[in-house]
Amino acid sequence: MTSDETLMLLYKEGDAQAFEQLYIRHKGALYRYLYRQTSDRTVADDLFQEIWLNLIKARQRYEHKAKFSTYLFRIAHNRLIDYYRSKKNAIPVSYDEDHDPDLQQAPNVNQPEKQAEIAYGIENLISLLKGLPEAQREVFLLKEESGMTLEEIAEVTGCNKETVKSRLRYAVKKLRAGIK
Amino acid sequence: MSKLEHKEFENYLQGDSELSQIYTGLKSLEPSADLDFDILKQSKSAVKSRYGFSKLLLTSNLDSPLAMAAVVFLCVSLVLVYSINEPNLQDENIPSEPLFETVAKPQLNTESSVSEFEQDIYIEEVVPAASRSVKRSDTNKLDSLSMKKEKLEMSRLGGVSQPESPVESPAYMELEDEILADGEAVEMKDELQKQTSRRLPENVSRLESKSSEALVKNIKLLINNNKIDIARSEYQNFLKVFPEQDLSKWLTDQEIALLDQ
Repeated sequence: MTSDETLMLLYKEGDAQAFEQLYIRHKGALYRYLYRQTSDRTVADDLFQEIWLNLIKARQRYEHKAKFSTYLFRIAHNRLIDYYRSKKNAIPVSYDEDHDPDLQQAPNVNQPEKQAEIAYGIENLISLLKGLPEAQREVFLLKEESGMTLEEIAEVTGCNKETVKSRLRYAVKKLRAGIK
Repeated sequence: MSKLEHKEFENYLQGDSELSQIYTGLKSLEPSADLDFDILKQSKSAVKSRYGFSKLLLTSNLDSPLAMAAVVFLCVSLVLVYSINEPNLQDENIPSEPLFETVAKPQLNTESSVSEFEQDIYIEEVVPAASRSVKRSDTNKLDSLSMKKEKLEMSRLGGVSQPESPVESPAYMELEDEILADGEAVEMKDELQKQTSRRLPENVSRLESKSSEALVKNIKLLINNNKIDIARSEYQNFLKVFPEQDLSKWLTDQEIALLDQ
């Protein structure tokens, strides 16, 4: 099977079929990452399209320095941060590396009075994911959707490895506690 | 974090986790078909617009004509650049003053074996050849030569020169002397020799004699006017063209020594 990086280089040289293969491989993971982070299908659609169009426009500058998935999700992360800035005029506090994840107030579904309404199984996990702080949810999604290592997630998010590990640990702890 | 939590987290990182299994059930969400279509369409159009022209050239039969056009364009450009940058070939050997007036004109009834036929050849071949040897930029002189050629033909038609007559046309002689007395007589002489050596050996020898005399007179005149450098240059040119010519009948030993310095 042709690697992602080779396909991207082929597309850079003008092979449209190579791009199609790349798109098919990564569209689901990227789309779910965006949708879980925004909880808005319209916004996810817009961001998803912008990210791929950015990739198309920037194909001539692509160099095989890192995994393609890292390159793609780095674009997605940056676009997501831009979205947060435009929507809330601030990046979510959970993205602050000095932020203590245990002090993060669980929004909405993590409220004790709503926990009783949460069903088990997949729907439960979706609700639990929504309750995670954005930064923790992001590292969890990157791990689950693209199978990235901690180092690769750190590269995508622009954090150091220990921060990523900490965020992921807290995310897993909360989700595990939620589904039990 | 307890040891149990730590172990569970390590298991999760290794991929052995109930959490990951549950999350797999969430991976059915996909972008819409319309979104897929739009993105793939844009990816193809971006590639086509970038490589369309190159592919057109590679797959069509236009490569040879385009290559030919490129070569022609290059050649024309080079010629233009060369003609623009061509140095002004103002020959230093040419005296600063016009020499036409300074050269003595021959007598009208000079003996000549040149027939009218030979004069025609001279008019048709020697004069154009001499004209060609004149610098292209010097259009005034070309015009002058053309006018003189016409003048010569007119005068010949007017009966100045008679058929089969040993007497040479005065207009012809005047033109010849003017051409040979010009600072570019060397070039003209070369052309003249090329054009007429096979057909008119006698005429050439006569012209050689007359042109060498005219040149020497010119050199002598330059010496008299204290233009020694120009005279020396003319003298060197003269020796190149007429290496076997005896100068002692025109120049004194003192003048030759001066030129040899």
